[in-house]
Amino acid sequence: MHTKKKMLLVTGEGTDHIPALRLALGSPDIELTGIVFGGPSQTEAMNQTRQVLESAGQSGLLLAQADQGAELIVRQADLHRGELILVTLGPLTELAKALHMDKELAKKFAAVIVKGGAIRVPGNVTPIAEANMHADPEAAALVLASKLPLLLVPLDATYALHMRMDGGNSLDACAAMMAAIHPEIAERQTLKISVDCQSTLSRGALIADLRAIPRVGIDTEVCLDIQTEPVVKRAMEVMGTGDKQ
Amino acid sequence: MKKIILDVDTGIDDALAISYAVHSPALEVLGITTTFGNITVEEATRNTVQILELLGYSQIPVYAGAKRPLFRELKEKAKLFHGENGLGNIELPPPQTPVQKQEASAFMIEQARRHPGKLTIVTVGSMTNLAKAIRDEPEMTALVERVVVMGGAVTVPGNRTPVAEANICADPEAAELVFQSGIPVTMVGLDVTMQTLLTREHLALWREKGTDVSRLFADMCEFYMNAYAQVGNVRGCGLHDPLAVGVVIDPTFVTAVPMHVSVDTSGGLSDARTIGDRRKHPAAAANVDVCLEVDHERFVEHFLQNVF
Repeated sequence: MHTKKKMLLVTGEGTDHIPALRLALGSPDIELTGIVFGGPSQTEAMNQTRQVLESAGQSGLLLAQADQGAELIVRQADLHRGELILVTLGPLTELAKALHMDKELAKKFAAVIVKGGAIRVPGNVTPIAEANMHADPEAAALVLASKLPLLLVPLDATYALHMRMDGGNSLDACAAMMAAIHPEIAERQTLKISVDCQSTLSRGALIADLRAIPRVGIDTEVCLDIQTEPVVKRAMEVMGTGDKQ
Repeated sequence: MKKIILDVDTGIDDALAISYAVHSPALEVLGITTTFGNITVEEATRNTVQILELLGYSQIPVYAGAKRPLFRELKEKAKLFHGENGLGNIELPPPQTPVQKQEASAFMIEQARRHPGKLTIVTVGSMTNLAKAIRDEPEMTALVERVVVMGGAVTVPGNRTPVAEANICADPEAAELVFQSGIPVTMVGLDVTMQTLLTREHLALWREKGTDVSRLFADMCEFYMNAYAQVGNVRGCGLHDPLAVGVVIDPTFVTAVPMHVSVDTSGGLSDARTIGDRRKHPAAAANVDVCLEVDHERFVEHFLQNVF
C-alpha cells in the first residue's frame, strides 16, 4: 500500500497559509495530521482553515491555538516518531517552546521545513530581516542550534518566483510546502548560519557566512533556489492567480 | 584637476592607492592624512612618508590623524595581510621628511574652507579623521564636494566578519557619523573591489619592468596575495584602495546606486555591517551612492598604466 508522509503544519499570522494548506490536502503523498496556529487572534484564519478542511473531507483534523501549539508538536512527534514532517510557515516560537519541553524532540522528526529568513535578497520587515525570523529571533536561534533535520527556505528561494506571479507571503508558503512535499525540487546547500538577536538595526537578520572559507555560524541546510515551473503550476491552481508572462 | 585629500592607513593597497593618485594627471593631491586601521597611526604616518619618498613625491604634505576610534579601544592590527610593518615586511629607507604639525582633521577643515565645493576626500582606512572634521565643523557637509569611501559591503560577504568589512570595523561609529551627516558619499565597498584583482601575472610584469619602485611594489603585493590565499582567495588580491582613487579619476569605472545605508554599531554579530536598504520601497531616503558594478577590465588596465 502507498504510505503517505505525515505532516504537521504550523501557520503564521493571518490566512497566508491557506493555499499551502490546499497543496498539502491535494497531495496524494501527504497525510496532514494537525495544524498549529502560530499567531494571536486567529479567528478568521481558523474559520477559513475549517472551511478548506471541510471541503477536503478532513474536518476532524486536530487544530491547536498558539498557546497549545508546543504541546501538539511534542505529542505528534511522539505519536509519529521518525515519520513526521513539520512545516513552519510563521514565527518559530511554538517550535522553540516544544524543543524546551522535550529535550529529545530534535531526533523525532523525519524533516523540518522552515519558511523564513533572507540571505542574499532584501528582507521584508527591515532592509535585512524577514518577518518570521524578525518576529522571534531568539526562537529562531534556538531552532538553528537544536540539531533538527532542518531545511530553511528563505526569501532567496522564491525571489525568481515573484518575478513570475503575484502572491506575496502565500507564494512563499507554497514554495516551502512544495519543498516539503517534493524535496527533489529544492536545491540544498549547507551554509553556516546565525541569527542576530542583539542588534537594534540587525535584529532578526539571518547571517550566512558566505566568505571563501566560512567560519561563523551553525551548519544548516538551506534552499536558496527552487525549481520554478512546478511551483508556479501548482501555486496557480491553489491561489487562483495567473502567470505574469 | 580634481583636488583631493587622501586619508590612509598605509598598508599595502594604500601604498598602491598613493602611487596611483600622485601619478594621475587628473588629480591634485593637496595632502595625505593618516589614520589607524591596518596598522597604528604612527606606522601609517611613517609608511606614508616612506612611500612618498620612494616615489619622489616628498613635497606632498603628510598630516598625522586619529590614534584610536571615536569611542572604542584600538583593535589589533591586520598583520596577516599587511605584515608587522604594514608594508608586507619590506624594509624601506628611514623617513627623512618631517610630518606636518597640523592635525589631519584640522587640515581637512582648512582645505574644505579654502576650496568650497571643490574638494574630494578619499578615505581608505578608518573614517575617524573625517568624522572628527564633521563633528568639529558641521559645515563640512556643504563645503566638501564628495567623499569617496573605500569600505563596507552591501551585497557581498565581509572580509573581517561574515558581514563586515575591515575599514568599517576599525571605527563603526565614525562611519555611521559620516554616512548620516548629509555629506555626499560614494561607497566603494567589497561589492566592487573584490572584482578588481591584481594577479601574480601582473607582479611578474612589474618585476620585468625592473625599476626599484616596480620591484618593491611587486614584493609587497606578493606578501598581500599570499595572505589572500590563506583566506581562500587564490586568484589574486583585491585592489580595494586604488579603486576608490580610480572612482575619483573616472566615475564611469563603476555603477553606483543611491540607497539608504546605516552602519550596525551593536558590538554583536552584525557589528560594522553596512546595511543598505535594497527593498523596492525603502524606509528612508538615500544617503550613500553605493557602487555595485565595476568595469573591472577597464579599471585594472588604467590602474596598471598609471600606477608608476
